[in-house]
Amino acid sequence: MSNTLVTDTYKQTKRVSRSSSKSADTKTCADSAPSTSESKFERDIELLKSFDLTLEYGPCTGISRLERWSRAEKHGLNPPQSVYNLLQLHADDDNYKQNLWKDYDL
Amino acid sequence: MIYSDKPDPDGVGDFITEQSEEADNHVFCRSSSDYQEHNDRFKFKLKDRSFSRQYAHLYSERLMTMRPKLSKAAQDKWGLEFPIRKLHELVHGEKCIVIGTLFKHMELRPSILKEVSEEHNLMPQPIRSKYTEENDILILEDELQRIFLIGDIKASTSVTGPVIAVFGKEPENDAGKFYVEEYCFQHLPNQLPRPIIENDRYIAFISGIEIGGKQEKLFQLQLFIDLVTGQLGDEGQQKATSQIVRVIVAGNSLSQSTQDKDSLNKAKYLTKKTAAGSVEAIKSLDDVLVQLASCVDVDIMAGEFDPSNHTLPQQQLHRCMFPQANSYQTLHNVTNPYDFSVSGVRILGSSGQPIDDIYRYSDIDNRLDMLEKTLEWGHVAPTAPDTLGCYPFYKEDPFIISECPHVYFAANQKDFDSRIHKGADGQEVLLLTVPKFCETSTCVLVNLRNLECQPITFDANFSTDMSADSSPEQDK
Repeated sequence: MSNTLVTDTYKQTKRVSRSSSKSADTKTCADSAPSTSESKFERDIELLKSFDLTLEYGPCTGISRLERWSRAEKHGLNPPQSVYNLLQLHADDDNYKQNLWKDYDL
Repeated sequence: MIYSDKPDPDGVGDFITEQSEEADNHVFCRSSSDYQEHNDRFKFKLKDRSFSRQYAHLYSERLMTMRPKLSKAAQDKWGLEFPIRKLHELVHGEKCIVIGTLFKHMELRPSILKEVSEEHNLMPQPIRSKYTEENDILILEDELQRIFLIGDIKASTSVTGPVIAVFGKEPENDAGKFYVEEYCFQHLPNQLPRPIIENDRYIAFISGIEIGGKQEKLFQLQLFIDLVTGQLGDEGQQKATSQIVRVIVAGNSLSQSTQDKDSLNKAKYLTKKTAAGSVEAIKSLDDVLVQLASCVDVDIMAGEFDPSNHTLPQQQLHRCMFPQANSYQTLHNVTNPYDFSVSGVRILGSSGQPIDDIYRYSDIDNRLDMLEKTLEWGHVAPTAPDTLGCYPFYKEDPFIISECPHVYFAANQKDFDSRIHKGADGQEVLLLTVPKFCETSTCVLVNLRNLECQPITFDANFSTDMSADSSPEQDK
């Protein structure tokens, strides 16, 4: 009788994901360097998403945010200038350009 | 009247035996006229077309564009004391004005869901001529909400689509419904005054030629061409004909039977050798147009059965379809609806599809009344995109009437009819329905000087009695 167990044939190595523990630490402290750009990005996207969901400016699907902004301005609905500035700044990035339903077939 | 009541009786019926010297010197020049096209909003380039958009943009555009116009009309009518509220701001029992898009809920309206129910062996909906019934309900929609309309507004004479301002209140005991006391639409837009034209100048409207169908009237069509090109009539009549400055061929130049829908469902190997019905018909149409284009400006619009796109606005018929006629600069392929001005007279019209659609979805019977209603509503095709096929616009709604035309026509109707509609600011619009040529052999001449219009019917009576003379007549 050997002392080996069946489970010994499968070597279990416990992978301690050090990176995750580290990032957990960094997330708990606010405003450390690598994540400001991320959270700014998120804040921008939040602003743009709320622009999308404001129904006074008309439907948001099927057209780009800039087109929707120009249309709202044309009709005198006073869309926020901050949205326009953001869109001009990141005119190439699809996350900024297209509305929040862009991944869905609407 | 374009042609005199008393044509010279000596000339009719005889062959010209003597060449009178005067006849050789009489060359009548056709009057010229300035032409300007205002069609840009109806045209779009192939590469820009995207049908994946939803129609909500079109409705939103329509409402946002017409809201200021309606606010002005509402305040002019009911004064400034009553507030204009959006639906989500309504207060129970308060009299106010609401502006929104009208929606007519019809039980009998063909619906895709009911078509799908055919799979479950339920009866398919029969095709009817009118889809309205007494129980239709009117609903007002603004950007965010909708509300039922009851009261002093008739559902039978309304259709889905126009933007309306209603005055009334939401009753306290019956929330969700708006009791309408009065309603109004936008003011008829401003009209540029018509320029004073000294001589008579005529535009000829012809529609529904329907070549290739059973009802095609080729002989009468040839009479029309001969008349316009100045080959018919004596000198006095030819001189009168030289005052026709433009011919508008307003749709349905090909017949429905050329559309040949059966071959679409057959397998390709069965239909390989058969030529499409429209090929022969287009060749005949080209022969017709080359005769007309050789001496007068011709505008050809697409109609319901012509080889153009089905949705409104229909784009121009392609130049390659008319190889002979396109060698003349005088042939213009134009969109449907068509907006242009000749000698300062602004003319707007369609090949009849919007009016036919309003006929199907409302109780109005007189086509001219429907045309007048669309002018009141300020929209050429209010039922688009609900029941009338339409391109999903998002930048603007091109069907909104923002400048009042002098002549407003709908072609391919059953009869000729005309009326002058007087607007509140002194605008005068000639409303005109152009009859189908294949059924009535009638074309319409409109005098640009005084907006009078006159139908001309071409008739041929070939009797089987060999002794009688065959004589083509021309009615006034």
